[in-house]
Amino acid sequence: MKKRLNLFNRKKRFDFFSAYANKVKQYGSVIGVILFLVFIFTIIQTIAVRGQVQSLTKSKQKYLALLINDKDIEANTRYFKGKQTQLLKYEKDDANFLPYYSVLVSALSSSSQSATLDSIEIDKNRDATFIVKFKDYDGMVQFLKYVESEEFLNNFEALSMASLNLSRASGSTTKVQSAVNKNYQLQFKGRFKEINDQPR
Amino acid sequence: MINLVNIRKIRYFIRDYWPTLLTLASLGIVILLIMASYKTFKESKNDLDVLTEEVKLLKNRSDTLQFNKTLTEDQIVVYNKILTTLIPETEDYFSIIYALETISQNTGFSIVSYTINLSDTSREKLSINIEGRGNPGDFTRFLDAYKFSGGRLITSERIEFSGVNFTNTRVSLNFYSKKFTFNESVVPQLTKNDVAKLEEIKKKIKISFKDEGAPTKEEYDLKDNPF
Repeated sequence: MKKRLNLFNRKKRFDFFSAYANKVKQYGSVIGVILFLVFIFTIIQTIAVRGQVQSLTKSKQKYLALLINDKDIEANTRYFKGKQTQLLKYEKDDANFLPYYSVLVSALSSSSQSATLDSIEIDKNRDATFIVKFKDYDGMVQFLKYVESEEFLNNFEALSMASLNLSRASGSTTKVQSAVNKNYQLQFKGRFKEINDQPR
Repeated sequence: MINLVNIRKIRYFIRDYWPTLLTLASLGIVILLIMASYKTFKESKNDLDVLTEEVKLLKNRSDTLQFNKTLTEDQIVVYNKILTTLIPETEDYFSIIYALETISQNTGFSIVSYTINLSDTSREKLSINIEGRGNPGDFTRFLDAYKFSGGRLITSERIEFSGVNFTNTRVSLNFYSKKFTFNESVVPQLTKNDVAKLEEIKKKIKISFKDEGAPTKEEYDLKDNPF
């Protein structure tokens, strides 16, 4: 068999590279197209974001202009809120006596006709001590029943009877007189439930 | 000689594989372009995020102010004057005396003496023990009115009252003064309750405010040139 030499055939060099060259050409063009599309996509996105930035810059200028116009209102609002916070803080120092006093007086009047509020002391924590006087024993018993009712206890977070005092008026000599001038006193200690009343 | 061989090799390499090299170069260029455009996109996105946050804050601030403006119906200046009168920036003893006099007149509970209670007095709070005369009705009216009607915020931490054995009464009253300092970064939003409370207080106080905008008459001639 004759051996022929093809003079047009060029020997491939760089064998290590030739193995990948075809694959690079084959896939490279596909990857190139994909990457180009990615490039176009990022460009479009950048243009869109730039558009939004411009729009927001205009909004920012608009709001800044509004705020400059309303700077007095802003200062007044801050001052108002600051002072109001002080007011609310200091108001907590107040015993807010009258609403609690009124609650107790109306409760007493509906309990027993002979019940009289002798004295009352209320502090800023709504802790209260009050003395109720009665002219007769029945009135006291009637009041004690009322004290245990939910209607009365609803006004208090805590309430306990501190003392019961039976006193006689001075100068009473006869048994009849002493029976007439007897005074019954009940002292209570407790804490009122908070009343969210309007400013007085 | 070696250099010549290397150059020839490169020439052969380029001649044999130029389509492949061109593909790789194109890919490289596209990748560089993507990186550059992505960097620009990222920067723009960061700018957008920062700006969005800024605009959101500014919008909130502006909306809050507009809401406050509508809610207070331009009464906020009056409310601030009331609040400044109730809690002045610095203690004003004259206003304390005036407040006690006013309450006394309004309620009929006659305040006959007052002494400063130093032990309970602090930088913000002035504690005064007052002694008053009147009947239980007067004292009840005093209790109803003392908090605001004198034009100063007055509190009493503990009150004793005996309607049966009512004689001269001693009450400890607190007056307050404090400087206002800006400490909030956001504009506070007012509520209807805030306004309602001030409206209620406004009804209790009789304060006349001088019109600051009115021009004042100069009492002496002004000369531009001192010589």
